[in-house]
Amino acid sequence: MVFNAHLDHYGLDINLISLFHIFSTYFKDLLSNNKLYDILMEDESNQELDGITANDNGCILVGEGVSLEGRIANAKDTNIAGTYNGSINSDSLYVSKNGNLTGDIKTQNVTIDGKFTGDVRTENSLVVNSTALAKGNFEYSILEVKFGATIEGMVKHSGAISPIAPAEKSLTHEEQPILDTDISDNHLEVED
Amino acid sequence: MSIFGSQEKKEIIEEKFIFPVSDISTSHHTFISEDLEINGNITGKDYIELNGKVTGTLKSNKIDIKEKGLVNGEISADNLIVAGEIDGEIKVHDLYIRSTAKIKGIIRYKNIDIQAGAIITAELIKTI
Repeated sequence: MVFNAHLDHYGLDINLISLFHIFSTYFKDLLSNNKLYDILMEDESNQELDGITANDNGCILVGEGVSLEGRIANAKDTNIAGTYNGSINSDSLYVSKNGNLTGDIKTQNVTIDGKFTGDVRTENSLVVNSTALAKGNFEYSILEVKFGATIEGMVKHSGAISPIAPAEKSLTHEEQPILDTDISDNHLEVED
Repeated sequence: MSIFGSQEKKEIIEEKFIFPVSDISTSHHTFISEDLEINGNITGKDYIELNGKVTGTLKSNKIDIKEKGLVNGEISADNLIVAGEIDGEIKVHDLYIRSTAKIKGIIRYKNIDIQAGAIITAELIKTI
């Protein structure tokens, strides 16, 4: 009803853009995702650079063309678009297409689009995309490699988290010893 | 029933992508069933579908190791799809590893594709 009143007020002068603005301000509360709202409104005060803003906690971005050496610890999101040489301890790591990363990595999730040399230990997923060139030792729980990618070195499944598709064979192996103990328990009861 | 039907269709489409139907009908299609256990060497020129167990070497142009397929030994192929288990050395041009696969050993490949969920503990070597 209120929306209709707006339209009447503006009359025929209303153009599509202002209609969109009225519409989006009106439904601001409905858009629970603030980022979606920012994108819709194209708010210039909240400019993002590769998904990382200056106020985000625990984020580090090594931009394209930048060369950095060192040690990153306790980071949440790490994005390597330039050249980085050193160790990284971060919740999630992304090496973008032009990125070049050398060093020891300890993370939850890694996605590699660019160049990587070194050792990786991920507690969760390791994604190697088609443009990637990855060499080293990889320890993972979920590994995904896209056709065309280069991945060389030792690959090891850590077995911390069960894969998406549960293996039937391993389940039956685990069940067998349990069944055996059940039978022996029954025997004991009979003897008593 | 309808859900089952759609799943089957998806699988067929996926396989067509790698093995064109015309290719299979004109080639020698070898099928190794689930209850078969082979000790020794298998050499073919075309397509082998493995549901059973092989201890030894497996060599062909296209090899499809299904979920219940198991290989203990060496595999060399042009095109290999793995949904089962392999323990040994793999030499392949195009390798597709499905989410249900379990692989241990050495993998020599030119192109590799691994679906999330596969359990692989191996040395990966890219050949030129």
